[in-house]
Amino acid sequence: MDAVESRSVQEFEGWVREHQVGLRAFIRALGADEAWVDDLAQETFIIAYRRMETSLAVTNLAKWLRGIARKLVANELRKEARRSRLFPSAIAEVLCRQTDEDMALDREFDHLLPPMQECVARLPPRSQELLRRRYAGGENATSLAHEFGMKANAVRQTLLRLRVAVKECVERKIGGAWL
Amino acid sequence: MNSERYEDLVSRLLEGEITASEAEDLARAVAESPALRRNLQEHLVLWEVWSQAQSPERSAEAFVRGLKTRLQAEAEGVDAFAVAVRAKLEYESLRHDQEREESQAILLRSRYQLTNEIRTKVKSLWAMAHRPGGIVWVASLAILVTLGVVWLVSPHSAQATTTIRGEVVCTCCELHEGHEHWPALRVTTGDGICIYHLEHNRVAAGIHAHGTRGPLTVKGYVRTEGERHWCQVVQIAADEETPRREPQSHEP
Repeated sequence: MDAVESRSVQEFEGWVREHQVGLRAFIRALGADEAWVDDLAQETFIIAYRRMETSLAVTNLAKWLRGIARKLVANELRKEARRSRLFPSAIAEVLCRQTDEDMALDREFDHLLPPMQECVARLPPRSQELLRRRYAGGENATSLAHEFGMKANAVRQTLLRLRVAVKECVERKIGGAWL
Repeated sequence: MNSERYEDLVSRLLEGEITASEAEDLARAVAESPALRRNLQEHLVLWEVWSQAQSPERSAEAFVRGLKTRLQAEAEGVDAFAVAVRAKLEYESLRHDQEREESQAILLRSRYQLTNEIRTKVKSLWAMAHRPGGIVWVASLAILVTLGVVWLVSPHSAQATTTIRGEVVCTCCELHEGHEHWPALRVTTGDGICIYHLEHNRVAAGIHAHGTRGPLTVKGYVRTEGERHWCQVVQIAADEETPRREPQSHEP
């Protein structure tokens, strides 16, 4: 690997680290299934890597990457449902088609994490544990119901209440629109 | 749609438990209301960021590592695939040359033997045809010989390859058969679904390295062991020899 190529690879890795949080969140907001978000984000970066010469001239990298991601997701919409990496097509269609007008394409989301951690830390321990198991362990409502001695629907309702409460708490901390 | 119903549907969506009809209800609601759409996207973004921070396999490090592996596999895969195709072509060419040489030698030997044989038989047939009713017998024999010759010169294949078209699935992620990530072909037939496990060779490694998903046509030697079908892939269909990860258009 020559010096120029090595520098490019290092530069690319720098971009990935800088933009991966925002890009993955953006892809999720376009309607990607939770399990496939990283896959689609990696594909976006792979395409960007192949076009490094173009991307070196791009002034707004976040926006450029999200444009690639949007095209990837739009292509995904054409697949049969069973092979799609998105939400059910009806929802994915709406989210993907109307994202331009709803969401700033270059907004980063890293800043959401610290206030979110503070908000979650204020929840009762059992609620924190529920959120931890749901997101760190990747367990869904049905399996959590068994472990927490609740019905699946009650777990869903509890998670919903927690999500709404945390979201409102974060918004109070940030103080304004963030999407 | 009232807020209770909306929240219930969002909750089901975030849990990955929404049904098709519920998804349509929710889609209608968010399509009609920019506020609901924004609310849904805020939930998706917020909890995605949380998920990345909570789950070790979704950390930034894991993501970068996974991406590097994919880039590496893709680069190696292109080389491995090119090598496999070249090797296959060279092997086919060599085999054709050998077969041609062998058949020419056989043909020369046969021609010599046949000439002697024909000379003797023609003499005896000539004598037979001059007996009473002999001409009919000779004509019948001539027809039989012609049919035999036609059968002998028509092409026969000793070992046939089979063409299979199916969806590439991962034996670990999708079939949950052990820990090795390796491609298999899921073929939908009139009777149901049939899985063809791909034997380890360079062509199959090419499919594996591309991480190909979706439909693929391969040629190979198929066998069945117990209830498991195996395919030794020798070739990927010409129209599918390029990796299909890339979408039709990328430039925003």
